[in-house]
Formats: sequence, C-alpha cells, structure tokens
Amino acid sequence: MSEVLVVRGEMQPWTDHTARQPVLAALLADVIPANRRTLILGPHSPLLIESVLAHSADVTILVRSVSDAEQLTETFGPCLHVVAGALDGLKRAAAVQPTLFEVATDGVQPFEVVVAADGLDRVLGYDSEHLSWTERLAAVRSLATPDAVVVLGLRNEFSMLNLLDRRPAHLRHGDDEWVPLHDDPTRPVSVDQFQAALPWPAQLYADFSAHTLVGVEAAATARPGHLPTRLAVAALESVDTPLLTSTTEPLESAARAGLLPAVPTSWLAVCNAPTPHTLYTHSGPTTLKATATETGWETTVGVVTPDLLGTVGYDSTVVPARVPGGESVETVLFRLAAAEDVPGFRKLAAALGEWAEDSRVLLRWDDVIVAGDTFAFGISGWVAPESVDKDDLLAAAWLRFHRRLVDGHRRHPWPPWMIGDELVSTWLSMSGVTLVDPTPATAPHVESAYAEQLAWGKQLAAALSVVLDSPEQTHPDLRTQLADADRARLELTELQGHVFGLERTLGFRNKAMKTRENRIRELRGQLQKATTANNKIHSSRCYALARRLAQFRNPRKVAAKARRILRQNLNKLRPAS
Amino acid sequence: MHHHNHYYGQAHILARYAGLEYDQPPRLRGYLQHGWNIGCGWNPVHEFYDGAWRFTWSDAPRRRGHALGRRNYHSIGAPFLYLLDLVPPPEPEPEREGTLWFLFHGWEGGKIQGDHQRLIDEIRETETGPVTFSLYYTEYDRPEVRSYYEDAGFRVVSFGRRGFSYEGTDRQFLHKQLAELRKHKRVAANRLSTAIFYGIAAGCEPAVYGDPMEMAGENPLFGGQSRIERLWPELLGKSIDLEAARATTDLELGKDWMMPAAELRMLFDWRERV
Repeated sequence: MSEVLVVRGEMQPWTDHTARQPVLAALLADVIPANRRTLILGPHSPLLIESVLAHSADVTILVRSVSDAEQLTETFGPCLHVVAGALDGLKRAAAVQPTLFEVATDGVQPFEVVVAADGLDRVLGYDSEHLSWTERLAAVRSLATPDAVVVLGLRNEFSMLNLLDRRPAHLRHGDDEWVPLHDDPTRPVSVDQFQAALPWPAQLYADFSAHTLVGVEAAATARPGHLPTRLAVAALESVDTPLLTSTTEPLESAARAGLLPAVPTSWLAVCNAPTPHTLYTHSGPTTLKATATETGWETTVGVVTPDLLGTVGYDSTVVPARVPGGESVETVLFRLAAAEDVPGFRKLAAALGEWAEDSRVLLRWDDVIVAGDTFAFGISGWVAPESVDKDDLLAAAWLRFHRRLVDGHRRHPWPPWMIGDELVSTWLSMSGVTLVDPTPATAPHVESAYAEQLAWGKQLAAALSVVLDSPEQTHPDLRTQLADADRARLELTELQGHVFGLERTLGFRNKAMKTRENRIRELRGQLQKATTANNKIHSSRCYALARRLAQFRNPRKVAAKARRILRQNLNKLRPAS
Repeated sequence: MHHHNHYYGQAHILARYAGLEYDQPPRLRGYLQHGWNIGCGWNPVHEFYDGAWRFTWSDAPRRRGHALGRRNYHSIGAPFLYLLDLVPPPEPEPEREGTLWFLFHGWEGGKIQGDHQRLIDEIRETETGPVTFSLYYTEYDRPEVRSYYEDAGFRVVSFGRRGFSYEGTDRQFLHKQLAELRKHKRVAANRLSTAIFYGIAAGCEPAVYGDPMEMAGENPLFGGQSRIERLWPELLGKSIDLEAARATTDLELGKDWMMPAAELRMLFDWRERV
C-alpha cells in the first residue's frame, strides 16, 4: 500500500505541525521492539517516524490531515503505510474490514506496537464523533494486541507553563480545539490518574518541553540543583511563552516539595516494555541518556565528531561516565548570596579556585556538582578548541554566574555600583586569582580596570551562552518586567539618596570649612593685635634704647670703653695742677 | 559620607588598609558602624538617607536592621581588626601587666550617673595588678568624675575626642587604645562594650563587673542590660572563659567578614575615577 488510504474523519485543508524531538526519538529507539506490526498514531515528526522505521518494516501511520498524509507518502514511499482520517474512522475501518491493512491478518487488533507520543488530542477531526479522552484510549486499546508495546503521550493541564501562562484561556489552547479537549473530566491531570487510566503496566516519564524526559520516580526525588531539576529548568526557560513569572523559582519550589513530576509539559507512558534509562536530554548536538544509581548518574552520550571550529564546541568524549547526584555549585552559591553569607560564599569560591585547573572543558557553576569536600563536572560537553588557562576558565564561570544572578533578580549583598566587572573581579579574587592593579580612569565612562583581565573569559561566556541559553524572550515574563521596573525605581531612589548624601557631605564639609574659617579669622585678629602692639613697641624710646643695647656684643668692652671715656671727660674737668 | 564615619579615625584606618591616604580618606558611600551595640549597629534614632548602604562590623546588626525595615547592608568586620593587621605587635612583645579599665561612657548628649567610689572599691578588691583607668573624653573633661579615679591612685588616660563634622577627631584614637591594650594583661569594664571586644581581640583577658551606671536619655528600644545578660552571659563576670570570649568577639567584631584591600576599595566605591 503506497497510496494514502483515507478513512472517515479526514481533514482538508489542514496540517498538524510537528517538532523534531530527538530526545523522544532516542527513547523510542530504546523501547520499541524490533519487527513488530506498528501503528504510529497522530502527527509525528519525520525524525520520530524514522526512529520507528529503523526497528520495523511494517509501520502504519494515521494522520488526520490529507495533505500531511500525502507529504508522508512522498517522503517515506512504500516503507510507510499512510492512513488519513480520524481514530474512530480507523477503528471502524479495521472492524469492518480486518484485512484492510496488509498486516492485519489476525483480526481487529492488528498492532503489536502503538506509538502515540503526541497524545490523543490530534487524532480526531471535525467530522468525528466527540470521543472523550477515555473513549479515545479505549479505541487505541481495541487496535492493539493485549501485550502491545504502547508509547502514549498526554499533555499536562497542570503543567507549570500552563499555570503561569499569562494569556486568557481562549488564547492559550491550540486552534484544533473546536471543543475544549483540555476541559474533559475523564482526562488524567496527574501521574497517578494517568497511571490508573492505563490498561497496561507502564513506566511514566515527565516530559519537559520535549527537551528532557525524566522518569517520574527520579523526578519526585530531585531537589533544587539536582540534575533533573536543572534540566527541567533549562527546558522551560527555552520556551518562548508569555508568562506571568519565570518558571525557575516555581519549578524549584515544586522540586523541593517532591512535585516535579506533577508539573511537566506532558507525560509519556511506556507500556509493556522495559525502559533502560531514567533520563533523556539534549546535550549539544546529541542526546544524553542517564541511569540513576545510588550515588548519582551513569551517563551515555551519543558520539559525535567534535566540532571545534568556533570559540566553543561540543566534544562528547569529555562528558563523564559517572556524575554525582548532588546539588550544583550554582545552587549553593545562590543560597549563600541570598543569605548574605559572604564568608561562606568566599570559602566556596576559594575552594572552587583550588579545584579548577587548566582545561579544555569550560567551567559552568550550573553544571559543576558539589561532591562532598570536592567538586565534579556535570554532563556538559562544551569545550574550547585548546586548553584554557585556569584564570580564564574561572572568569568565564563567574561571568556566567553574574548574569544568572543579576538578570534573575536574585537576592545578594553587593551594592549596585559593584555590579559588572567589579563584582566578577571580586569573586575571581575570592577564587585566588590575583587581580591587576587598578589604574586611574581617564574618562567618565572608561572601561573597568579589570576589563582586559576578563576579556577572554567574556568571549568564552558569551559563546557558551549562545549554545546553552535561549535567545532573548520575545515576551519577557510579567514578574521580571515588574522587577525590572522596580529595580529602575530603586536605582532612581538610591541615586537621589546618593545626591542627598553628597549634598549632606558638602554641608558637613562646608560646616567644617566655616569652623576653620572662623578659626583663621580669630587667628588673624590676634595677629593684627600682636602686630599693632609690636609696632608700638618698635616706635618707643625704650625699644630704641634696647636695640642700641642689643648691639652691645661684649659688655666688658663697652664698660671699659665707657670707663675710658668717662675718665677722659673727668680728666678734662679736673683743674690743671 | 556621614561625618560619623570619621569617628575614632575608622575611615582613616580603612583607607590606609585599602592602600589610600590615611589623613584624607575618600568619601565612603554609606554609613560605617562606629561602635558595638545590641541593635542594628547605630543608635535607635539614627537617621539614614534613602538608599544609603550600611557597613556593619558583623552579621547580627544586619539581621536586626533588616527586621527594622532597613536594607542595603554589607558586613565588613570592625576597622579595629584591620588596625590589628596594620599595626602588628612589637617583637618581642613586652610583658603585659595590670588591667586597663574602661568606665561606661556617656556622649555629647548624655552624662553617666553612678556610684564611682563603690566601683573603685570593687576594682581594688578584684584587680591584683596596677590599674590604668580609661575615661572617654566626656568623662575625662569632667573633673568631678576624673578626680575620683586620680585620687584613687589609678593612672587615668583618655584616647582623645571622636570629633564632630570632621573637626576635632583624634585620628590616632584607636592606635592609642590599641597600644594601651597591648600593655595590659586584662581589660575590664562595667558594661559589655566595644572596648571589651577590642581588648579581647588585642589579647587581653576580659572582665565585666561593677555598677553599670546609668545614662540620662538611654533608649531602651533594643532591650538594654537585661538583653545583654540574656545574649552574652559568657562575657559577664570577673573571671571569664577566654576561649568562649574570643569566639564571641570574633563574631561580634566580624572577623570572618573582613575582606582584602581590593575588595574593600570596590565595596566602598573607592576606585580611582576621573
């Protein structure tokens, strides 16, 4: 069957968009058994279809859009049996004509594998019966053998993104909801409800925006700063949805409460099949799988050719095979900064400085794990093309931390005038890096004295941010916008206070100057009096006499001379004998 | 900078530690705690301008200030600790002798009242070595107070004035106090006060005893003497466990909060500018 088979309930014109979802593809590759009659139910990306086709030649896909079905036929040719129509139409067709499908030789339960990772929302058309979620699940069950491997997705109405979405309900859901599918009383909205609704034994994964899949048991024990939480936070940060607030803090709160598996974007149930790995996530250009152990995680990463042409590149060989399960350094640093515990922060920074060494692997405090008295690298495979000096690695790590601390409006004890290079330099010096001597600025807005010392670190941090962080959000969340506005108001108030303080200092200084001026005036008055008295003395006869007398250096000589003169005068007066 | 920051030459000490000129410390962008207290680091009615930063010696005043609705704190350690770094003890250190006794002091706005003779009798009963009596200038300048201690045969000293509006500050105040402390084996006072912590930091054995006396206009907002007794009982008495006293002193003077010169320069906005 290489032509599109159309069953009841097809839609045209219509198309259902799909995302590549390489992480899901990796999971499907692990759990789908080989060479079974397989049904892919609903829209799935070509990548996902390929990962299913890699295991089985007998694959049928049901999509409700005729144009999507034609596109799939064109793409995959005779490898894939494409059916256009709705789930109820497929069920009816299979019941009426069991041999409709080439593989359907043994009755109305033709499929040994059902992949409905997209969930059961996009399997009905506008002409379909209005089946509840439970009825749709029953229809799937009727198409599968009792021991069929079923991979079933379910969008979570209680997801963090949904809870924090700032749009009203009528704008929040897809344009395929001609009746509100999400408002279905039979639809599970928790892990327990989902598990209970499934007619098969299942392992559930929490799916965070198709970026990370975590087994719900592991997610329930993850705490803030632990690997699943970090990945969940990173996953939701990458979604450009208009939000009331950033998802980071609520997700960490959920993790603290053990409720991380309650708030993912969706869940994925893997039924009747073993699941070899606990966690699947994006890691650079590949997918990383991890299995929980007693002390942490055992990792497997898809081998890719190292890409080392840019400032940073991905090298899967540097990802450790074992990663400790503790908190990230960043989490501890955030905690110490919020508690204004600078000595604790300084101690940790010093320990990090001692631990770090020259390396190609870039340092990120959000992926360095506290492991007892020391530290360990997390799952990052991002490296520089050549070994980087330890000081530059530390600078890059502190620059990244600075951005996440300040942009995240997290609490810390450093004053606003330190924000920027000065603060990064402060942390760098806490890590044992000797700072350059500060040089006098030559213009009002000249770069900081440390700009040159941080230059290479800035390049590394910027390059890392490009590959790791989501681009600028088109809709910054409401709380961040309010916090930005508050920060601007506070800055204004503080600057006004600063002006007041400067004026006050001037006032104090002025007062001090006046005191000194008065003292100088007093001294000047005293000097004038003294000068007048001095002049008076100078013009007196006594002074003149005293000056004459002062000229007498040798009183004996003067006395002898006076005696001689007196004697001569006396001799003149004496009558001649 | 508030002119209080110059009291006792504290800003001068920090400027020298930061590698700047001692006699002309740059303006410090905020308020510097100038004495130990049981509150937020300043007197209960001290006024602060909006957005001002408060540089406390240790973390406890920050926490108490936070509860008063104040923000923008950063603890830096007491300037006296930086002075200890700047002026190391002479080598070899001369043998210490006697007790340097500090009388609880008033200030420009409040005079102390108490039974000085009874205090002298108790000091004589307690101290076995020679006693040097340190009077704050507010008491030193009152002959009726000073004469009590001079007549008792004590050597009476005063370390200078703290000044006002940048005028009359004895910039060597803490230097003189440190030099005296280093000569004495014991430091004592009739109230737990800054001088006791300085004495312990300078290597003296502490004692706090005698009539605590009263000062007109004392603001009981922070809890007064009874709160001190509840919070720091290990520092009260004629014979005190030195190890416990040193641990408390490190906390109260904020030893762990001291920072390197470069960091201090950045924190105080003392970078060189045009």
